Amino acid sequence: MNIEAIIEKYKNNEMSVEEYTKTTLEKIKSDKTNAYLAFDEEDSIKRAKDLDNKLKSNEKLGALFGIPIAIKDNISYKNMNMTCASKMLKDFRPMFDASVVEDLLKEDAIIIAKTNMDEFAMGARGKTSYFGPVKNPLDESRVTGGSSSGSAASVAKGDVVVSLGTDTGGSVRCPASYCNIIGFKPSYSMVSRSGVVSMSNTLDQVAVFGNNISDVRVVSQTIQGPDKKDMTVRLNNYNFEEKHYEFKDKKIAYIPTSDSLNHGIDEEVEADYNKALNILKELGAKLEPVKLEYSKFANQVYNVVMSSEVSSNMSRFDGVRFGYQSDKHTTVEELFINSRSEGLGEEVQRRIALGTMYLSADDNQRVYKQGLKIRTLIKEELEKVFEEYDLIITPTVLNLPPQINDDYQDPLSDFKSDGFNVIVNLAGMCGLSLPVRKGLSGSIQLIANTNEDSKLLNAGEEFLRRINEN
Amino acid sequence: MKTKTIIGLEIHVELSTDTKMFCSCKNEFGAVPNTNVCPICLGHPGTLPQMNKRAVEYAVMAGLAFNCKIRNEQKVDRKKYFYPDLVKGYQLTQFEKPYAYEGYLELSSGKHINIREIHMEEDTGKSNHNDDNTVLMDYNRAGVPLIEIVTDPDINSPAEAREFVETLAATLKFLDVSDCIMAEGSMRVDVNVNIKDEESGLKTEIAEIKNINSIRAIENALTYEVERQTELLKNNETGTKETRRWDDIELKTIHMRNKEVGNDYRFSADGDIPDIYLSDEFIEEIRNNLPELPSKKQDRYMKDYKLSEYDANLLSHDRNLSRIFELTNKIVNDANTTANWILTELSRRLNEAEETANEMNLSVENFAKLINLAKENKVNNNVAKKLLREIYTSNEDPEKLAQERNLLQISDASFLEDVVNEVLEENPQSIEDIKNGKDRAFGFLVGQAMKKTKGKGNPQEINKLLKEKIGV
Repeated sequence: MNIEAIIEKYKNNEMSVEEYTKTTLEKIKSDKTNAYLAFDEEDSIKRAKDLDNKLKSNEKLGALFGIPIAIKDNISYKNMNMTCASKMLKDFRPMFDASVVEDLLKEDAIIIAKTNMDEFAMGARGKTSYFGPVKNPLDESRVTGGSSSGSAASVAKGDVVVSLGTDTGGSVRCPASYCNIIGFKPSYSMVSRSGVVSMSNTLDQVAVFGNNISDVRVVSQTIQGPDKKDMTVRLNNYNFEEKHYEFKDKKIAYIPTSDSLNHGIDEEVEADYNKALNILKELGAKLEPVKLEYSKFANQVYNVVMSSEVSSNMSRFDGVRFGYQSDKHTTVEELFINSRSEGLGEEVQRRIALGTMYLSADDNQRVYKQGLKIRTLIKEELEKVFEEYDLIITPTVLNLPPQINDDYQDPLSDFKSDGFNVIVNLAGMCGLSLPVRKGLSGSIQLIANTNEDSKLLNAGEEFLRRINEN
Repeated sequence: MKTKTIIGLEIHVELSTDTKMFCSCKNEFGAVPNTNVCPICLGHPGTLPQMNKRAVEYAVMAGLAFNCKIRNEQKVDRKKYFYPDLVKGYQLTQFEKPYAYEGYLELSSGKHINIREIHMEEDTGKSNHNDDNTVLMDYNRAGVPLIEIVTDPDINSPAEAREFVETLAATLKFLDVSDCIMAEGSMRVDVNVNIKDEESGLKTEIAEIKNINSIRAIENALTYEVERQTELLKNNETGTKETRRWDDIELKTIHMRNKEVGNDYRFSADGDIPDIYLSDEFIEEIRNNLPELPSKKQDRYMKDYKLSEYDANLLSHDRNLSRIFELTNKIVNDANTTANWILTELSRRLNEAEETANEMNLSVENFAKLINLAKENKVNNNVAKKLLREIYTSNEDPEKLAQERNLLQISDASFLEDVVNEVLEENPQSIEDIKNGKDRAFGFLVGQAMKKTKGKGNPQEINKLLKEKIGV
């Protein structure tokens, strides 16, 4: 069922919002994948009843009327705790709603649960959560991918039809690929970040999981747009217009599997990528290979920029005003050090340490400054591609979801498969991860230029229509 | 030994906006601790800054007043360090591109003190240290808009430093962008000072002095420090680069810590605030609305109105008084008399009522009328002063009031002649005394005549008549 169908059933009295909400809550309660960190039956059922009354009194219904939505636990909803899956915030209750939550509630949605994630959104496998890893609904021995692990699982399992994650360097598109659902990262500044805990604030963007494009579109339309609480968000409304995308004669750039950017690609993923390329050809698109010069540095640049921003965004967690406070301290320095050492996990600490080093005045911030320069070059390189091409098609990630118990030693290995995701964030553009076939398989990513989000969704819809025909 | 004193200043000034720099919490001094706070100024996760446009306007006003160039492209940086009063673990400030640069302030000697830069930033919270060694945090001040004014080391004496800060504070107060009260921390001055032996070229290491809480203390601290460092030079010592604090009771500076390596604040651009572009139109509009500054106004008052330097100085440094002065004088057309009335009688009334000139009930029209009544001898000065007391609060028409109370001065010669004759008849002894050179007796006769007119007689006229009659 998609959103439209659910609302239709409400309107035709085939089911009540309360019934559907209770069914959803039952699924959440019996979850075995560790996808959820919080839900509030009373809050959700009360809201469902209010919505049923609204329907009875013939009031105008919101675009997400009675739709239960799961949100990642780094997005503030004042009726539930927000832990960021960290010991640091394990009992933290936000004092206000994120702007995206306000938007969803205004359109009559129900915030049904907070989902598990990598701690403070740092991780690519969904394994760094203080509350344990999330299992992949397609194969419970495998990871969901991260960092929006629980939100991906909640849609993949069918508990909810849509969910929100955040995507800083693939954190929605990677788990979308591993769980074989749709993951859409809008252009930077499309969606307000107010109430969303910053990880790397020039890369972070709220992003959407769904099973079909029309659901993703209505959620995106709801959460987009200006917000006086976020100075970086766009200044006017954006229109996600549903429109047929004609692939015929469109110039689309692709990265050949022989290209170094695809180095190490999994055989199955390669086959699925080639399958997708063939479909585009069948649809009449003019596929041409492109060579990206600077994008091969994307992972290193991402590591530098992201870690640097992480180190300053995380410094407010000092044990003084909120969050975990160590009781082992006699001086204020010890309070800072012990609260942070005990309250933050290994991956978070690693990135803080790296960022602190990159920003140090010791070598005049040489690495950081170089990183910013190459970031600009990557953006310009992609902009240049879009002067000639309508879209870029890449694999979303290069591998299938790893095993949960695969204890890898190299912490940087996580970044390797996310290269095609990272360039999109570095350039502030929009990316859409799409399944190519059913079951565990490789996904493709379509990338469009900044603010061409509407076109991107339309292209994805046409691609999926063709896939489903086959 | 011929020495040169080298002083540079770093001055933090809180802007008196209604609300804080990045949230809508009230910006006020002295509120109950932690009552003017919200998730944004407490640095809660998920919060983002919202720029206060008024703070930018105030900052630009200050920059223009000190002849600075204003940058079009504004950038905000994060300055990172850990301290309990710093809510985000970083302070939002302008490191790379201060909004204003290359300005100056002119001292009365005509010397320019260069202002290297002014940047905008947010204030931190406050640690309140208790006797039992506990520290309580108050975040009311966290996020209050600040500007930091940095001079070149152009100041060469404690007196110059004092004058610089006095003029700076007077200007900012005049512009209404800050109240500059050092005791409340809305102006905080750090001084850097060292001494150079001009013969040998030997220089002391720079000492930074903190904890100075009055303008007088700036001069005192510097005078002490100059002496201390001169002693060092005499012994061929240069001291160490250090931070000292001024002790206002012991009247000396005390070593706090050595300054060996600079702190690493790991500056980076704040991605939550996009680069802000201040258009030329925006800057020019502020420039055009900038009031005439005290020093310029003083010059004009002396030149155009021929006021004394003292009067011109007093009037020009108070924005409200100068406004009343100019409006009143338009009607009275006698600058000295008007200035006199404002700086004596009106100032007394204002002080008594604890009001500023823009708050008083008395209209410029009625105030000018009163001055004219006195000037044209329609009431005598004492009566005029009494009338001012009344109309200051009631804002009545002083002429009408004088008429009703029968207080208008009598200058009718024939009536006054009768009175004078009467007085002379009643006091023959006094006439004798006057002729014998006792001046005091003359005053007595004037007093008697005034009494008979119930204070309304024109004293000059009575004087004249008495002199004629007695023949002195």
